[in-house]
Amino acid sequence: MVVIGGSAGSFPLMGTIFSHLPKPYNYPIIVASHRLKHIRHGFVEALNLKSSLEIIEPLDKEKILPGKIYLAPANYHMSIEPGYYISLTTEDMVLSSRPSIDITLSSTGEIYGKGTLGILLTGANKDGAYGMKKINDFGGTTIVQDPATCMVDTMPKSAMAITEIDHVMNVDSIINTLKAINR
Amino acid sequence: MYKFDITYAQIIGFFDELKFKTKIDIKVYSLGAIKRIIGGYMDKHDIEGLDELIRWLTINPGNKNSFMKALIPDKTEFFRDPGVWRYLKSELPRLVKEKGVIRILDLGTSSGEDLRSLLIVLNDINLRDKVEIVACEKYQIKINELKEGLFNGKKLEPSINNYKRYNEGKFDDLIDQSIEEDSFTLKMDLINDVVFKTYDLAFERAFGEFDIVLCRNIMCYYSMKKSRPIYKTLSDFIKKDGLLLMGVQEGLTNSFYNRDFKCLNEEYKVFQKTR
Repeated sequence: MVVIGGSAGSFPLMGTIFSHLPKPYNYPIIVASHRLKHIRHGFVEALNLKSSLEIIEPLDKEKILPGKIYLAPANYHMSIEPGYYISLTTEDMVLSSRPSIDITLSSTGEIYGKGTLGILLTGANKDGAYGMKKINDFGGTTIVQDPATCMVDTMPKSAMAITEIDHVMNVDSIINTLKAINR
Repeated sequence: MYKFDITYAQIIGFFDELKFKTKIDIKVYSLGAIKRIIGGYMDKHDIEGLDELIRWLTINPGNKNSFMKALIPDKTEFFRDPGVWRYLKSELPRLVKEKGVIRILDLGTSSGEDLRSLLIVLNDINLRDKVEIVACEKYQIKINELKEGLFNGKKLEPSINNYKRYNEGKFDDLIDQSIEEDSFTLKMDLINDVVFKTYDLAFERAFGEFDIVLCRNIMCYYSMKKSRPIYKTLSDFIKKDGLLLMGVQEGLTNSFYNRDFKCLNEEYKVFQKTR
């Protein structure tokens, strides 16, 4: 299971990453990104233009399948439940965000354990740091975008400050890693 | 995220003890949601573990009441998903013309923003006297709170944006300017003729039939297993040809009863009962 979080500056990077992933891809990819909550359209459509894999904004309780990319919908928190399905809820914002990257990352880490690869990209607040710590705690592998290559480095640096990150990479290396695990 | 992290395994183990000692049954909830709701509650009250939470809940009825209220997440804002309310604004006159008077049920009224958004829509189209509304919530304490009509100030900004997208209007015009710090009330409160009822969708049968049922972002808080029988209750609440409005990321695909409905509007998740 691959889970990716990102905020300011991460949208074009996600497009680049998804455009390089081979089809078929053996794992599901879960994505939480800060976004304008009243804009429901355009985000997933724009990413789909670049990706060979299908990117969807799932409905609540949608079963998770390999080879699909699940993008947290605007104004919903997205978590993974035992039984490997998506849960979408509307409770309070976390770190001023709904979707919360922490919620998506931490629940994925808890459900998939050491089978989790967590990736945190550029972003302007510390959302995602706790989630990366939980992925680490549950035995998963963590990658942050090299802060030197970030538009805003607060997000990866916050994660590095509270947990031991396995790999610090630029986007090309992240793409190569995602290709390599598919072999 | 929270001072005391709760795992899925811990929360599953906690269900039976909580029910045994407090009679509060949380087994029906989605695990992720209930874990976060409890984590947030424990943070707010400086409770450092699930055993301490049990002790806290059994010390006095006030603690138990505050916990029960916390189990019902607030509606996030007024006119959430503005297109849904535009849809209702355009469809309600036709329905009233066909049926004379229509009955609307708001399931899981919670903090009441959906209910009041509906009332504002009805007021806009001068149809309040043609619509009977029943609003349900699980606990009377929550109903008492929502009747007071005091809303968290954090909801103001998204509500202003939503209202603008609903009808180009100024939400500020609806607000009582004598607002308290960090909270606000509406100038006109239209809930006087609403029938409020304590009702638990997870455990009780349908108590009537309605032309329109609002059940927006409610089913997502139930577990996969529990949601299946609840869809039967939902279906029982709706008259043939009646409408069901769910949250925009909810659906009926997990339901055995989806064959009873056709989707009238995929974007706003409006379903019509066909048999």
